Amino acid sequence: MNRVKANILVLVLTVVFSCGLPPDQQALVDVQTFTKKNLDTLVSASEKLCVAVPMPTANGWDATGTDQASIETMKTQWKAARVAYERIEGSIAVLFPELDESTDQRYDGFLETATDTNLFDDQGVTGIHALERIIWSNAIPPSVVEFEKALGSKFVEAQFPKNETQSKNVKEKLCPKLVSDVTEMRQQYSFVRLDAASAFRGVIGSMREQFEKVSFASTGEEESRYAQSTMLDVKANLEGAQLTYEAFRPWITSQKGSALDAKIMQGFVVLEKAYNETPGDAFPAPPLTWSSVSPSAADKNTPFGKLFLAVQKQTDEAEPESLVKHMLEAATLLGIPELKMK
Amino acid sequence: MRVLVLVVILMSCGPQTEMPDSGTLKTYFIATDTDFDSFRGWERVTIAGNLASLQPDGGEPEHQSGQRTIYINQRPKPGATEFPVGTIVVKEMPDRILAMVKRGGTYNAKGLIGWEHFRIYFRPNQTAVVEWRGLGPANGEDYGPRGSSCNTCHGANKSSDGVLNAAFRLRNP
Repeated sequence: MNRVKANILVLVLTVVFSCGLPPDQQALVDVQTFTKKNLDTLVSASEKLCVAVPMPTANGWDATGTDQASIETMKTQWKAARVAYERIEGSIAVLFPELDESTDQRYDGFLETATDTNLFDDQGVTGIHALERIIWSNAIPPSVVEFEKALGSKFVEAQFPKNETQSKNVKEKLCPKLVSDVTEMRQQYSFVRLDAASAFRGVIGSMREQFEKVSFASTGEEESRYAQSTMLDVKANLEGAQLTYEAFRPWITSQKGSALDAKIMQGFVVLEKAYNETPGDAFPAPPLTWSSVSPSAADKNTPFGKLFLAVQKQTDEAEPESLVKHMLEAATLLGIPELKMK
Repeated sequence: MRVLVLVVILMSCGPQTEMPDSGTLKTYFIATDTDFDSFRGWERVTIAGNLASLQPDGGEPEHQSGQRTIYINQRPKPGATEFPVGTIVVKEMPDRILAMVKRGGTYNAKGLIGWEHFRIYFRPNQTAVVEWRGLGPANGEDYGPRGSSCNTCHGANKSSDGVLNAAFRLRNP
């Protein structure tokens, strides 16, 4: 081995062995990298979604004819964007409340403070669910329609663009607004100097998201209600929580938290198993007699009942052996108090 | 070669933080816990006046009465019409620590534009942790006249970019 090769070997070995960051710092690097990667996917999928929006025509969209393929592409990209955001929402939403609202607010959430008679422009009801409401407008479940009609006079029926103005608005206003907002989110995130507390709270936030979503499922209020893909959302929430938590494991175990870590990992397994028993992107249909407060024994035994109870058990911090309870214990072990959620 | 080794080591270790996107003039300051760690060493003023007149309906009083110390991490330049991005104002009271941070951009567009509100918890080991952050208090908390939020009083004070304390207000010509 000549002198140059020897020096290169020394260089490589030195770099390899000198870059072991302390576990708390390594966790931050990993979480930040994971978040940025998903923000990149979110922006990229949103852009592709918008590229696929049919060109404006006098008669609007031809959903069963010339525009069918475009709409299918929009659906595919919509789901890609959705998964990317749901993986990181737990840590992102608290940092960007306004962008979270403009991109991820539900229809009924927008109507709490405003009215919107033009569903295709970039004012009022906007974001990923506004687009979802249009893209899946011919396949919305009756329970969802019933729930939204009950919102009263502010309710405007979902539909495809039916004229040039409407289709132009989707192409040039509503969809670009989503791209602009998620791009802004990604840009601002590049200014975040993440700390351990903020990052770990994101994991807990992701877990709470899952219970919120399953809780709303029985009333037509579920998050991705038009696409019937809220199961896909919660799977992404769980995946995001698992991958983010993975970054913290060395730190937790270095603080004599191995037993706690094992309980948390076990909790993930239980939830993952429950989710895997629900194939597809949609929640199982809740029984007509479902009550989340006091479900009957028969209702508990349905696919929806089993899913609801599994999520409830693992996300209830009052439950001594729940996943979230153990996560809060891990946060305490790391010196992180809970972030109050708005 | 040894210099090269040292340079590579220095460049390849430590947190891999990326610089913000280049080619943009936008600047943001998104505070995290550690930004509050040293606030007790900043310029400060202690006040004890009662501002109960600001709360005619008898809302939560502690935020505006009793002893409170207000800290600022940096003063704006003389004649500035707003506080620079990165300004942190902390208000410490016997039972709580509140803060507002000039985050920049159009954040808090419907309230105190560009400012983010915080409640801070200070650990015994003298490091800070954010209890809540955002456009206003967490659910169930109230710091002004009933039904109001941080933005109600601070957002109304446009002439001093939301900073109410006399010692730290903007001094415009």
